[in-house]
Amino acid sequence: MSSLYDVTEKGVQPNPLKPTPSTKTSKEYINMFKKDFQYKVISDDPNELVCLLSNIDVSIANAIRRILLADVPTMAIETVYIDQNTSITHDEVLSHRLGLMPVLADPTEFEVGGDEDTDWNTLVFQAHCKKSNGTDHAKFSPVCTASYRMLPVIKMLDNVRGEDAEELCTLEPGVFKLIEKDGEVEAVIDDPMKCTMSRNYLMNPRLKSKIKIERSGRDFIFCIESVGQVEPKKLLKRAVQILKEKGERLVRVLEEEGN
Amino acid sequence: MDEEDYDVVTQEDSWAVISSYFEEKGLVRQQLDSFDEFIQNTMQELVDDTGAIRVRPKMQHTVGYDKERGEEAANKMYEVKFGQVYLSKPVSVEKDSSACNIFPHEARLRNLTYSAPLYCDILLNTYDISELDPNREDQNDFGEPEKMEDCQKVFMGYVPIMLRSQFCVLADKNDLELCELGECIYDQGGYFVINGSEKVIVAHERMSNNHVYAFKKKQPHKYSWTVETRSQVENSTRPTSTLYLQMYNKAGRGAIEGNQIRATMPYIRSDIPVVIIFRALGRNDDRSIIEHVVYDLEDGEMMDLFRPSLEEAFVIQKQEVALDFIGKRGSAKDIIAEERIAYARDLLRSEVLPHVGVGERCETRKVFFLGYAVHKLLMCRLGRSDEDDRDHFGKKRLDLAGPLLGGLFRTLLRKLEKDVRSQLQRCLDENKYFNIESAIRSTHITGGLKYCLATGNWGDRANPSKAGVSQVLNRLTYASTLSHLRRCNTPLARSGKQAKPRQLHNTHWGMVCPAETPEGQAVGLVKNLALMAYVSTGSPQAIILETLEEFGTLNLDDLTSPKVIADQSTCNIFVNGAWIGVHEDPEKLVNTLRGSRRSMDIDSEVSIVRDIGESELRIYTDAGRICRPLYIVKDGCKLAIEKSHINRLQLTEEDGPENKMTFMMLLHNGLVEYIDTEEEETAMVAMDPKDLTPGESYSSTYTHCEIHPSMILGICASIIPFPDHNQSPRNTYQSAMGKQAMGIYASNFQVRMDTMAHVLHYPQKPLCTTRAMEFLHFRELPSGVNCIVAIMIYTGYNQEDSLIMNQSAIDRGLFRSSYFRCYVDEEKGGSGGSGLTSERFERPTHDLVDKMKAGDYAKLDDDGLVQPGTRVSGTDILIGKTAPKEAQVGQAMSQKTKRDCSTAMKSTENGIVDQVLLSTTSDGFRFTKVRIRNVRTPQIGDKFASRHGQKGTIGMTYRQEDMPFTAEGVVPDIIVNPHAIPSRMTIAQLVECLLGKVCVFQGVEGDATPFTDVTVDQISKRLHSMGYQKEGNEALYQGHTGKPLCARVFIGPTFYQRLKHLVDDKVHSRARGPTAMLTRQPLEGRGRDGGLRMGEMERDCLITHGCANFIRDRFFCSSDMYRVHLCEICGCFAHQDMKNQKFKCHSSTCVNKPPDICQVDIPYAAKLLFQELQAMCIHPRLYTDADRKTRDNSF
Repeated sequence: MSSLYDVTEKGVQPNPLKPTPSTKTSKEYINMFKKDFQYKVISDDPNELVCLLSNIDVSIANAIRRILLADVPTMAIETVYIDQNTSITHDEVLSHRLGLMPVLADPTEFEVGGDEDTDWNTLVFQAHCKKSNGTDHAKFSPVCTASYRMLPVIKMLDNVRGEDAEELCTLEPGVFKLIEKDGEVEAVIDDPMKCTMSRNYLMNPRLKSKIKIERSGRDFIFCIESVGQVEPKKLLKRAVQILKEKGERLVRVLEEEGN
Repeated sequence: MDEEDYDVVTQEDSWAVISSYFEEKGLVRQQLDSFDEFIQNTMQELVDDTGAIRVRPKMQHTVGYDKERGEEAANKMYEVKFGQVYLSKPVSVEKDSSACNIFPHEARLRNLTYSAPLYCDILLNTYDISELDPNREDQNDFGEPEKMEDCQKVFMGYVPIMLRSQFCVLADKNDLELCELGECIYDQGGYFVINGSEKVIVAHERMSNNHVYAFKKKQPHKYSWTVETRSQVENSTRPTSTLYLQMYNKAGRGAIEGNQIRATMPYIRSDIPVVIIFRALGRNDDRSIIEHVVYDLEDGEMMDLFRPSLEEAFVIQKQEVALDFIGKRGSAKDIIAEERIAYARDLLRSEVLPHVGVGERCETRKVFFLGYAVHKLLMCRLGRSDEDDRDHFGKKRLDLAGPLLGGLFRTLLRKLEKDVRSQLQRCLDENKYFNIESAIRSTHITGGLKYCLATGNWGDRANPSKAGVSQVLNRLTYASTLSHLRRCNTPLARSGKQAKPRQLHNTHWGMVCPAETPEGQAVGLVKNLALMAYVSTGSPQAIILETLEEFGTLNLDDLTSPKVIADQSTCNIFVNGAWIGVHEDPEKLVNTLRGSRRSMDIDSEVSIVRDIGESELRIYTDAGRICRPLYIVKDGCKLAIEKSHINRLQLTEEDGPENKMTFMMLLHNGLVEYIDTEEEETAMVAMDPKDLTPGESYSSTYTHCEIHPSMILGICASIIPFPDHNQSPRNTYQSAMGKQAMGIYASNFQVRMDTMAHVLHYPQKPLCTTRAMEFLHFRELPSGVNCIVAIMIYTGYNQEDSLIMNQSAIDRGLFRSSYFRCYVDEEKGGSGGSGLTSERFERPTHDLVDKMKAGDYAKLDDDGLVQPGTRVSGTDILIGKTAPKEAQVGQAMSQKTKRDCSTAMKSTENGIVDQVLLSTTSDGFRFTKVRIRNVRTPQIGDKFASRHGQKGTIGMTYRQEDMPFTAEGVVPDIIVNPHAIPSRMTIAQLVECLLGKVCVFQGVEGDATPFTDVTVDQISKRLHSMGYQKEGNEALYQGHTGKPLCARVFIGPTFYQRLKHLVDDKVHSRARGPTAMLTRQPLEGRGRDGGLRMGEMERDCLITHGCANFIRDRFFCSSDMYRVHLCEICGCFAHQDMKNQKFKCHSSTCVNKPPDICQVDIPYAAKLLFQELQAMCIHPRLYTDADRKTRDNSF
C-alpha cells in the first residue's frame, strides 16, 4: 500500500518509496487516525455533497462508498397490487417503474400507502413499500452514485514558461493558470482538484520533465449524489454508522470464535 | 465559404435528393411497382392473350340421341371470348356468403386471406358455319355471329393483394387513419396476407434471355469454344429454347479437319453443321452465308476459320436437302420426306431463335442473328473478343412479385380455359344449357394463387418449378422486415462448391449490398438490394422501335448488302437482344435516345448501352433489370443538378406544392437518371461532386456522378456506424445479427397476434447514427440501447466473448424486454360450427371428457378460455376444447362422450395471459388466439452484440459497487474483453465509442455515415476540447478494493443490441423422462423434455479414456435396457411369468424338454431388430455360452 501513486504513460503505479503509514497496535492506529483525519466540505447542496477526506486509508474510503451504494437502507415500492389497468403499459412494466420512484419516507418510520379509486387509461393499484438496501435491488440504493477520486498532487520540478505554459493550460484545463513573470508567461498551479489525471501533459517531452502529477493514496475527493430521499450529509453519517456496526459485528464474531 | 461555393452542390446536398427518392415510395418500391404492373397491365394482357375458346358439338351415337337436332347443332360454332378484367377492393366472404370489405389487420388476426375478387367480361358467340367457305383466307373469321351473349363481370376468382399497392385499401391512408385501422405507421407493405400469415415474394435471379454468350471450353475438350443463346419470346409460357453453337477442336483419327462449327437445336438429336442451318433458312450460296457471318470479305483470317464449316456442308447445297437433313435427325419418325421437310421448317420457325420471330418471313432476321452468333464465335476463336462473364450482373434479371405472379396467373388461366372448354363441349354434346358463370370455376385462380403463396412452391401443385419463392415475413425487428422485403435469391444448388457465382462482382456496385449476405451454404447466393437499387418493371419496346425507325435505322430486312455491318463507323442495333438493324451515325443516335429518355419521351428505365468496342448499340426495355439513379454530368465536369433544385427539393408542402420538387421531376428535367448495370459499364462515374471541380478532377470525361457512395449498402449494413472502418466480414456478421436484435418491430405490436415476438422495453436511438437510418426509421423503431462500455479485463468473467453486465443497471431496466407468444385454435369439423360432430371450446371435466391432459384446467373460464391477466406456467391449459367421441365397435359406451383436445402452454415457458381473441374463420367456425406475455430481464447466458459483429453472452453480473468507476463516478454497464478487438479489427466500434462520448457531452447526434470526411482525429480533438483524454481513455478505480487500476481504460457509450437467443429459452436438463414408443430410447429435443445426446465424439472420448462401464451406463442402462428370457436349448425368446416365476420355451424343439432358461439384458432396439428379422423369416438365436453341451443345433 502506498500513500502516493505515480502516474505515468504506463499507468498508475503505487510508489514503493511512499508506503502508507502503519502502526504496531490498532490502538496507535486509531490515535493516528484521530490525529490526522481531516474532513473538509468542498461543496454541499441538498442533492450533492463533495468533500475531501484526508489521511484515511483507501479501504475505509471504499468501504464508505460501497456502503452508501449498497447498505444504507431506503424505502421503495416493492409490491404493487393492480386492480385495474386499462392503460397500454403492462402491469409488470408499470410496477417496475413504480418501484424505481424514490419514496420520500424515512426508512425507520414508514407507513403503507393508501388506495384511491376511480374507465380508459385508468390505473387502480395499491403499492406496498419495503425497507431494504442496494444489495437487494438497485432501487433501494439511496444514491445515484457515490464515488471518489484520489487527490492529485502536482509538483513543479521546473518553471514552465512561454509556449509550453500556454500548451499546459490547454492540456490540463483549469489546473494551471498563467501569470506574467519577467516579461514572460509562466504556468503556476491554480487548482489541483481540477486535474482529471488525463496524463495529457506527458505527450510533450519538455513538460514531462518539468512537471510531475501524482496521486495521493490517502486523500479522497468524495462525491455523494443523493437520489433525493435523504440529504447526502446524512447519508454519509449513516454510512459511517453502518461501517461502525459492521466493524463491531466483526469484532463480536471474532471474539465469539476466540472463545 | 465564399459566395461561389455556396452555389456548388455538395455531398451534403445529396441527402435532399436521397430523401426525395425515398419519399416517393419508400424502401419497398420494387415490390409495389412490380405488383402494380402485374395488376394494371400484365393481368389484362394475359387475359387478352387467351384466345377465344371455340367448340363445335360432336355427333353422339348413344341410344335416344336426336340425330336431326344433333346434325343441326353440328353446324354451329360456339365461342367464348374473354374481355376486360376488373378488380374490386379486397373483400372477405363470411359463412353466410355475405361479402364485406376487409382491412389487412383483420385478415391477419382472423387468419383470412387479403384478396380482391377478379371479374371479367365474357362474350358468348354462336356462329352458323354451314355456309362458310372452308378455304377462306382467314380461318378465324366466322362472319357475323348468329347469337351474341354479353356476360358482364363474371367472377373469376380472388387475387391476393399486396399491402400498400395501388389496389390495397391502405394505399392512400395517412398515419392517423392507419393507426385506426390497426396498422403500423412505419409499415411499407410489399407483402401479402395469406391465411393470416404475412408472405413475401422473394426476388429470384436468373440469366437474361436472348443474349449471345460465348464461353471458352476448358481443354482438353471436344470443343474449343461454344456460343449459346437462351431465346424466349416476350410474355410467353413456353420454356426458353436454347441454341448452342460449338466449334470443334481437331479431333482424333478419322475426324474431319477441325474448327468446324455445329449447332445443337432443340428436338434434334445430333449436332447440325451450322452452314446447313443457313441453307435450311434459304441461303443456298456460300457467298451469301459468308456475308452474313464474316461481314468483311477482306478479312482473310476469319474466312479461313470459317472455311471448315463451309466445306463440311459442301454436300448439301439446296434448302430442301438441308431441311431434310435436319428433319431426319428430328424426333419424328417414320414419316415421308415431305412431312420431314415440313417438320424441319416448322422447327426452324418456332424453336430456333424464337425471340427473333416465330411467324412467316422472319428467316432473313434469323439468318442475320445466326450469322451474328457465328461471327461472335469466330471472333472469340481468333482472340479478338473475350469470353463472356457468366456472373456479370448486367446479364442478370430479377423476377419479382409481378413476373412471378404473372407466370402463375398464366398457367392458371390456361387451366381455367381448358376447364371451360371441356365443360362447354360437354354441355353442347349433351345439349344442355351452358351457363358461363357456373362454368368458370373460381377455385382455379383463388386456390392456385393462394396455394403458391402459402407454401412457396411456385407453379403446378404436382411439380413445382421453384421452392421457397414466398416466405413468411420476418418480424423480429423492423430492419429485418425491411431487409426481407428487399431480398434476392439465386436458384442455384446450394451444395455447388463453385465459388464464382457467390463472389462479389464489380458490377454489384450500388445494386447489391456488399456486406449483407448469409454465412454458410447460401453465402453469396442470397443477396440484398442496395438502398437505391431500382428494379425495372418493363416497358413496351414498340416505342423504341418507332423511335429507331424515325432516326434512320436501316432495318435488317431492307439491308441490301451485309457489308455495311463490317464498316467500323456503323453500329448494330439490338433491342432486348434481338438484332433490329444497323445505324450509320451511332453517336448521334445515342445522344438523341439519351436526350429523349432524359425528357421522359421514352421511359426512364430504358437502358441505352453503346458498346463502342463491339460497335453495338443495345437497348433494353425488359423487366427485372437492376438500375440505380445517378446524377447526370454535363460536358464531362459539370453536374446538371444545381443548388436551386436542391433548395426546391427541401421545400415542404406548406411552401406550395408547385414550388416543391420531387424525384420524378429530377428525372423529368434530366438532372438524374436510372442507369442499369450494363449501361453503367459505358458510363464514367465520379464518386463525389467534389471530384468534378475543374482543375482538380481526375478526369474530364465524366458522364455521371454518384449521389452518395453510402447508398451501395443495403438495409442491415446501413445501420452499422463507420462500416468503412471495419474489416469487411464483421459488417457481414453484423448484417446477419442485426436481424436478431430485439427492438420494436412494428408500431402496432400491441394489437398484433404474432406467434412469437420480442419487444424491448426502453429502446434508444443510437448516439452514432448514419444518414440512411432516417429512411429505415431506425430512430423511431430502434433495436438497442446506448450502454457505457469499458473495454477491459475485470475479474476474469468476460473471457472468450462473454461480457460483464452491471446488475444495478439491469435492476433499473437496462435491456428489459417482453416476450409474446400466441397460441391458436379453432373449432374444427361438423357443419356450421354448432353441429353435434363439431369441436367445442369449453372447460373439460373429468366425468365427461376422456384423455385429459396433465395440465391445470382450473385457469379456464366456462367458455374454455383463460382470462387476460392470469398468470400461467408449465403445462397449464390455455384453450379448453373437446371433440365428440366416435362410438367404437365392441366397446361399451362409457359416460365419457367427449375427447379432450385442449391446447397447453409450452412446458418450459410461463407468463401472463395478455390478450384473448375470439372470432370466426371464413368457414364460420369459432376461432381463438391467446397471447401470453412474459418479461425477460437480462441474466447470465443472454446474448448481446454491438453493431460490429461483436457478439457475446453475459458471463457475470456485478452490482454497481463492485463495478469499476471513473473519477467522475461513471460505472460501465458492460465490460468487454480487450481480446475481442485486435484479431477482429473492428475499429469502427472504437470510433463509435469515441464519437458517442463526444455526443454525450455535447448533447448532439453523431454522424457515423460511411465515406464522409469525418476522421478519428477530428473526433478525438472534439473530445479533448472538453477536457477528456483525447483517445477516450480514463483512469478507473477497482470496485472491490477502491484502489486505482494500473492501466487506463477505453470507456464510452456504445450502442448494444440484445439478441433473441436467451438462456431461458435454451436451458435444458433431464434425469428421467419420456422415451420413443418404438425404440424405447430417450426422446430428443428440449420441447419434448428429451435427453442430451451422447454423440459419436463423446463416445470416442469415453473409449479413449477407457471407462467401459460408464459407456455401458450411458449407451445401455440409461437408454433402452430391456430384460428378456432366453431358452438356452433353442436360443429363442422364452415365455415368462414373472409373477409366479415360471419360465417356459414353447418352440417345438424344446416343448418336452426340461426348461433351461436364462435372463439377459439387451437393448430394446436389439429386441426390435430380432423381431423384425423374424418377420422376414430370419430367426436369430441367442446363446449365452458357445460351448454349452445341451445346445440344440438341429434346426
